Amino acid sequence: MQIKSLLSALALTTAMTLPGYAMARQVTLTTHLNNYGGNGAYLAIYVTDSSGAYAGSLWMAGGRAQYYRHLGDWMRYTGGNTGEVAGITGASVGSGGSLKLSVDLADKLFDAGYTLHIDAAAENMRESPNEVHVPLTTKGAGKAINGRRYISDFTYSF
Amino acid sequence: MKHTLTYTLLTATALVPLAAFAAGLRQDPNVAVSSPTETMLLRVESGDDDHGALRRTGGGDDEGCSSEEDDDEGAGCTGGANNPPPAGSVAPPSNGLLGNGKAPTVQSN
Repeated sequence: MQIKSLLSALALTTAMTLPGYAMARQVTLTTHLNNYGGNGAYLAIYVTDSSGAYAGSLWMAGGRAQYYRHLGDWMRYTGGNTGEVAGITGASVGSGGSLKLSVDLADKLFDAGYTLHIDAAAENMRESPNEVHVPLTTKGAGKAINGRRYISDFTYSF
Repeated sequence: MKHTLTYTLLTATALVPLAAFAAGLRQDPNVAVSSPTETMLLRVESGDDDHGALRRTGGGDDEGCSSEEDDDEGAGCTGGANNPPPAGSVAPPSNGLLGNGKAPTVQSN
């Protein structure tokens, strides 16, 4: 009887622990850049909610904060607060290059009105805020979205 | 017997988050460094477009970085103090977007 009770308790406590680790899904964000012929592009990848409010950043390609002012929409949302990209910042991406991120994204982001945005900028070239903006939906996974200037295409997939 | 089972229960329950945590540590981002150089950008307003062009400037500007120092993403620049910590050096922000609080792993070329 005691064994049965303990096993039940074990199953219950395990079941209560696991959901915290199951409310996210592995998502791959792939960005291909055009051969725009310039130096490395800064890319700010961030999310807004269904009301258009900034929800948070997912990645910053480019480590120099003084250039972030050229990522216009991201700057407008964040005020240039580098804390928004602390620990999620890497190198800029070269012309013709690609950036592939593998990230556990919260399930709540999908099919709930959230939109992923990418601002882009490169030296001696025009800024390109909100170059990519794509609603996060399960149906949209795997479908390439074309950029306007620096980004050839962007895809998120599960 | 009762004690043994109790210990088993406690151990198994504790191992679940520990295993997940350890998995997260193993997946610390491996940031591939691309080769682009980065130089000072300056907005130049243009009358025929919504967005300004970016222009290189030399040293001596208000940022305190010369263009020669711009290739190493943070080192040797007085403005570097405000640069965000790179992936892998600190925990990512708790913005509720990143499941399990893990930073993305990245490949760049």
